[in-house]
Amino acid sequence: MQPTHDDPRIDQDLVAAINGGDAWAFETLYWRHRDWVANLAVRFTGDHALALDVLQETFLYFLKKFPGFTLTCQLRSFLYPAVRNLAIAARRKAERLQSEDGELPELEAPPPASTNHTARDQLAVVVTALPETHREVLLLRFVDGLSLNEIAEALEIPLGTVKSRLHNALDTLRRDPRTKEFFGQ
Amino acid sequence: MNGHEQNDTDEPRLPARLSEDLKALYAPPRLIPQRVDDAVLAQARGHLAKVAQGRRIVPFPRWLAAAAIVLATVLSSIWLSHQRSSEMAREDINRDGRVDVLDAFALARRLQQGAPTDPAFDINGDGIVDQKDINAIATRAVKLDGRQG
Repeated sequence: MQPTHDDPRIDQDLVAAINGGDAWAFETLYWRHRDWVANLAVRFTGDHALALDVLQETFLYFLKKFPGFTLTCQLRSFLYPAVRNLAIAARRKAERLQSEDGELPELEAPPPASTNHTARDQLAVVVTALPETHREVLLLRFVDGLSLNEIAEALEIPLGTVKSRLHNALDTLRRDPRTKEFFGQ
Repeated sequence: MNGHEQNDTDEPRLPARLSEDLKALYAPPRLIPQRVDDAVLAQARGHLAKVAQGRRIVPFPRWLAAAAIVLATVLSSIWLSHQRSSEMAREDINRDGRVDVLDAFALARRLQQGAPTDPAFDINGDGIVDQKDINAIATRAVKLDGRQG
């Protein structure tokens, strides 16, 4: 059952407690980041069932780091590559088992658009059409709430590259006729 | 440019509605079955119980164990060396580190020259340094040679 209260300790302190065998600290981190990992896994796999597998595998991968684990960045920056790699592996495994007529969705599949073409649907179309590297940074910043530095750590790229990709993604949204209304144009 | 898009610290911002729509599209509430939570947390409890148990047993530091072994080796080596040297010293008349027939000759020469003899040369322990001690050294040297051969 999900805890009814949140532990006030920051992630680094909880990691230190887990090194001492504190299961409660691990549970706190699990509840704190579970939904984010699940959403990320869905974006990478495009499949809810696969994403649940990735969710489990991600936290078990994290668990096996203990004892003796030192968190040198934000936990989400640490978890991001794990989620991505596990999701890609899960997709490949699923594709091998998939019959010829059952194609898996594209990586970071767009949410299903409805037929009445609301502004949100148009946004989904434009975001999906972004280059993958630009979309990745855009979503990490504005959906997942990572700071620019945390994104740089998660993707292992320079901060300047993060800024550049984000600038390009926003520029596309701002110029595209389907999404420029979001910017009051 | 909309004032919400960019702030002074070079950190781009999104218009509120765009941000909300992105979150609604890409981070909707997910239904995660309880079995998934239970599976992860059960493994965590099991694994971390072992971690906690391991910490309760105060581990003997490896460096201390290594140091103890080295110290024991050095001390036993010194002790054996001392034992050997104290055992051999009395018969090693010429102090060349070994007991052989030359030690018997060296003691014989001293006795012949009438030089003062060290009581330590009383090899057979009869209170007198004489020919019997020379014989004792020679006998010991022969025994040693036999052992080595």
